[in-house]
Formats: sequence, C-alpha cells, structure tokens
Amino acid sequence: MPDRALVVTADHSPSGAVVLRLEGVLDHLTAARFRRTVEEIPLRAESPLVLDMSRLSFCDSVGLTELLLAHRRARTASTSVLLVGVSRELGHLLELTGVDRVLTAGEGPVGGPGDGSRPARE
Amino acid sequence: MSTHAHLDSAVATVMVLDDNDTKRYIVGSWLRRAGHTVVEAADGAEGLALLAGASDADLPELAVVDVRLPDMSGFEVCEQIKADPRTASLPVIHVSASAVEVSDRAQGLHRGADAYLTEPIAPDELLATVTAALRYARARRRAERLARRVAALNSSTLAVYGARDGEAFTAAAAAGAAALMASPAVAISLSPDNRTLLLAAAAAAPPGLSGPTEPLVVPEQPAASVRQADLRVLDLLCETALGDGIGTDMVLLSGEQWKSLVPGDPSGGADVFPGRVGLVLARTKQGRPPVALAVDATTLAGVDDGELLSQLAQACALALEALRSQSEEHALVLTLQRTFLPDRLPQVPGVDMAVRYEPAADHAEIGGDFYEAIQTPDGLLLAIGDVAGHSLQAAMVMGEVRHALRAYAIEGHDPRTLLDRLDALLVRLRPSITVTVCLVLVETGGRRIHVANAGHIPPLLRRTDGSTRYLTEHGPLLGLQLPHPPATPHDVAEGSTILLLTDGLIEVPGEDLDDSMDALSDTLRGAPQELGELCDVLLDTFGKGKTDDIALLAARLL
Repeated sequence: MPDRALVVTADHSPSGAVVLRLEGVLDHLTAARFRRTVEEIPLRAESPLVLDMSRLSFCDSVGLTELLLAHRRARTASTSVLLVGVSRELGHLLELTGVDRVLTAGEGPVGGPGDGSRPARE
Repeated sequence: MSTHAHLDSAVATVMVLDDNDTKRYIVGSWLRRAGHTVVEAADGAEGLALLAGASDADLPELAVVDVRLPDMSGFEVCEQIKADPRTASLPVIHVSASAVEVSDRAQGLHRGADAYLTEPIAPDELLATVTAALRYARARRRAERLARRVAALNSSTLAVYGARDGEAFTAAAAAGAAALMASPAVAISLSPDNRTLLLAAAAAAPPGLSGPTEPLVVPEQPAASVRQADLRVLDLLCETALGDGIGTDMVLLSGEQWKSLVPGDPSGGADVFPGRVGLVLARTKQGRPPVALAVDATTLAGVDDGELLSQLAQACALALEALRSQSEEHALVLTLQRTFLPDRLPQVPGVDMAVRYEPAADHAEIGGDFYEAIQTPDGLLLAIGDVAGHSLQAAMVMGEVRHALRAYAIEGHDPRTLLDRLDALLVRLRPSITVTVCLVLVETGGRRIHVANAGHIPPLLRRTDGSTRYLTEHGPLLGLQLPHPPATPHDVAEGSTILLLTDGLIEVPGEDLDDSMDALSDTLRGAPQELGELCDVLLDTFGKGKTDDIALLAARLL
C-alpha cells in the first residue's frame, strides 16, 4: 500500500455495532474515500458506529472534519460514533481542537472478524 | 505503401543448407542469378554455426534447408533457428526429394517452416517462394518494430506527463525523443512560468529498438542534461517551420543551420548531431510558445518515423500546457492569498509586531492559514487561524473568515462573542468546513491580554525572565457550533512576547504535536528579543522542508 493511502475495513460485531477499521492515513487526499465508506454503512438507532483508529498513522484537520461529519450522520440516525484505539498523537489533536468534546474515545465493543463480518475493502 | 512493397521484394542474403554439393550449387546459382547473395552450409551444425557467427549486417534473411541432412533432420535445424530470438523470424523454406508423404510436409510446416517445396523444383517457383517469404518476414518485422516504437511513444508520453516541473519536463522530452528515434535528441521549451528557455540534450539510446530481432522490451529512457538558453531561440526556430500556427510541423536543417540557430555552450549543449537535423515543432494553442524536438535527420527516413516523432511532440506540447495551467493556478491562489492578508501591520503604540507568512510551495498543499492584527474599541486584536483543507477552496474560505472577523471586531464584541459569530457564519455559509482560530486581545496599555482559542495551537508567551508557557485554555474549533468558553485573561509584564503560529511551522507527520510544541517553546527561550530576528530564527529552525502553509505572528509589549 502506498504510504499515503487509506484502507477501511468494515466488520459487524456480535453486539450489533458496526466497526470500521482505518489503516493508513486520513487526510485531505483520502478523506473522500473515508466519507464514501461511512455513507454506505447502514446505521441503526442505539447501535454505535465504532471507528478503530489503532492502525491509523496520521490524521489531519480535514480528517478530523470527516470524523465530525460521520458523527453528525450518526446523530441524525439516533446513534453515535465511538473512537477506539486512539493514539497519543491523535488524542492530543482531538484535545487541542476541542473535538474530544464531541467525539467519544474509549474502549468499545471492538468486534473481531467473527460471524457475519463483511470486509468492505475499497 | 508502394515504397514498402518495393523494399520488401528486394534481394537478400540467403543461406542454402544441403549436404548434396550439386543441389546446393544449383539452388545457389538460381538465387545468385536473381540477385541474391548466397552463403552455403553442408550440414545442420555448419548452418547453425554460420547463423550464430554472422554479424547483424551479414545475417542471412532466409534459409533454404534440405530436409535430409547427415547430422540432424532439416526439421530440427528449422526448430533451432526459430528458437533463437535472433533468428526467430527468419523464414525457412524446406526442400526435399519427391518421395515424401504429405504428413512429412505437414510436419515440416508444423515445426516452423514457412514453405515446403518438393523436387523437382522449378527455379521460378523457388524464387517466387523466396520472394514471398521475404516479403512476409519483412512486413512482420516492420510491424513488430512499429509496435515497439508505439510502446516507446507511450512510455515517453507518460514520462513527459509525469514531469513535475519545467526542467524535468524538458529532460523527459529529450530522453523520450532519443529513445523513440534511437538518435541523439534535443528538446527546447519555455518553462511553465514563461520566464526561462530550457534546453535538454540526450544521447542516443543503446541499440535496442533498431535491432532486427529484439524482443518487445521498451528500453529505459536515456538521461538528459538540461540548461537554460536564450529566449529568442524558440522564435528563431519557429521561423523555419510552423510559424504562428498550431499543430505540428517538420523541417530538415543542415548542421550549420542548426548550430547557428541554437548556439552551443562550453559544455557542448545542443551540438550533438553528426549531420543534418530533423526538427519538429508543436504548438497546441494559438499564442502559446511551441515545443521543439530535434533528432538526427537520418532517423527520419522511414514513413513511420516522422509520424511518431510528431506525435511525441504533440504530446509534449499538451503536457507542457497542463504544467503551465497548474503553475498559473498556483500563482493565482498565491495572489488571492496575498490579497486577503494584510500587507501592513497597524502601527500601535506600546506594541511591536512582526509577521511571517510562507504559503506552501507545492500547488496542491496551499491551505487557508490567515493572521490579523486590528485595532478595536477594546484594544489590539491579534488573530491567527487555519481553514481545514487545501488549495483554492481553503484560500477562499480564509478570505471570507478574515473579512468577517474584521467586520465583527470593529463592532467591539469581546473575543468569545467573535468566535460565536464566526462559528454561526461558518455553519450557515460553509457547512462542512472547520476552522481553527486563536484570538488574543491586548488591552490598551498592554498589561493584560484575553485569549479566546477555538481549537488552534495555543499562543506561546515568553515572559521577561525568558521562561515560556503555552496559554492552553481553549474551546472547540469553529464549524460545529459548540459553545465557546469565555476568553481567559492573563496579566503580562512589559517586555513579554506573544507568539501566534499555525501548525505548518512545527507539525511533522508521525511526530507527536506535543513534542513539536515543546521544541518550539525551548527554542523561543533562547531566541532574540528583536521580533524580526526572532521570526527568522524560528523559521530557520522549524520551517525548512515543511509542505504546509506557515503563518507566524509575534507581538512584544513595550
């Protein structure tokens, strides 16, 4: 994978949450790809959209904006976005920009590739 | 095409392979009488050795091979000839005694032979078969060569379109022409910013394309050296061909003409041609400067040659237009940015200020950094901000936000209200855009500041004792319409320095922003008092090699 690309994989955890695993870079070049993937995920009320950031190496301000837009979409569907695997760097960025007041980061139902997992690789 | 037909039927060097001396002599004499050059071999090994040892110039173009040979069958000889890449397309005509089965003839043809004649053989039939086989083989080789050259044209076109600047473009154009024509080549073009004439010369590619049986492999582009030349050279060349027109045009120049139009330089430069020069000029738009490609005129002898070189020249002209557009858009965005940003800081008694603004060098990375320093009823308002995103849209939003900030600021709103107002405007007019802004209001008198920070890198304060501290209280960035906390007041002493910056100065991908901020804070401690020098030190220390916009605003309270 070229070092400025983004790969997004979707898993459906047994608990019903959708887990999107981000790998690579989320920035102004890959933001559109991330947005398209998120838009294709059917969101269910009370079933959070979990974003696994543990393999994301870099996120810039445009990437942040995309996370916020995902959050807005989740809110419209009466659910929310949960960030897991947030690195120290990303955590600082979220805190600096005040985005941590909007996006919840923490330990969540990180579903493994169990039954019903459907990788939505782009 | 009649040229080709004529050439294809021309005489050739033919190998006659037969162990029977008489038959070999007779067939040889028929061929010689028809004008062919004949070389002879008496058995399989000798025949194969003859082919292997022949130079490219002497290599036979066709072999007449008796089916029954003492050391191996004629079929085996044929197979070995066809298996060697160098002779794979060499036609083989089998001859044999009449007492053979149809199945033997079929076998011979299956195993690679191009024709099979059984005795008694009439001389006319042999000669006609030889000519037919030669015609086919030559046409096939020509087609293969053309395919290779078209592949080379494609590869050269890609290289030219992949060039990121004028020098790389001109070098790729010369290298592409050299590879395509197997000739030394010179490319001349005006740089994308229209200021410099660039000339690149490339040596002839090694003989890969011109060999008769080279496999379809496109050779690597030969290296080209680039230099600047007199701006008038292109105009002078246009007088020989193309003029003011669009499209492509070709002309042949003598060596002296070329040397007089394109003077060399001490390193040799454009004087790379042994004799006459073939020059192609291509222009895609009226009024634009053309691209010139020059090659050794002898390589333009064939029907396809001129066509291929013209296509390359056309591709070069188009690629250069694309580069030029990018360069022009970059210049336009830079101009817009500069228009939006104040070129003079207000003179404020009691406050010394300096600003540095470096837009991203790469067209694609230009962003929406902005700064402001404006007198308001409550004091001097300093601002720094960053619109998320790059290129034209970010620059446009930056202009809008800055103008709005000025408009609200002169109405006398406190910093937190200013953020609320900007936030509401952004959400209304630019729904999916986020902006970070840091406002620092310096109360008249210069001993108290109020910081309202919306998600931006915190301002750095250097106290009179030299110690530094980030003023970290902040709220969320703009664009979400989240509540902003009230501004935080700080008492500051005379001689304090405040630094406002954007992340373009210190952010390193992969590095924690906190670490970068610590490094900056350390450097500020030992940096000069004078603001201009201070800014320069910070730019020198952190600003090299950064790809994002950089904005830096420093204020010192006197």
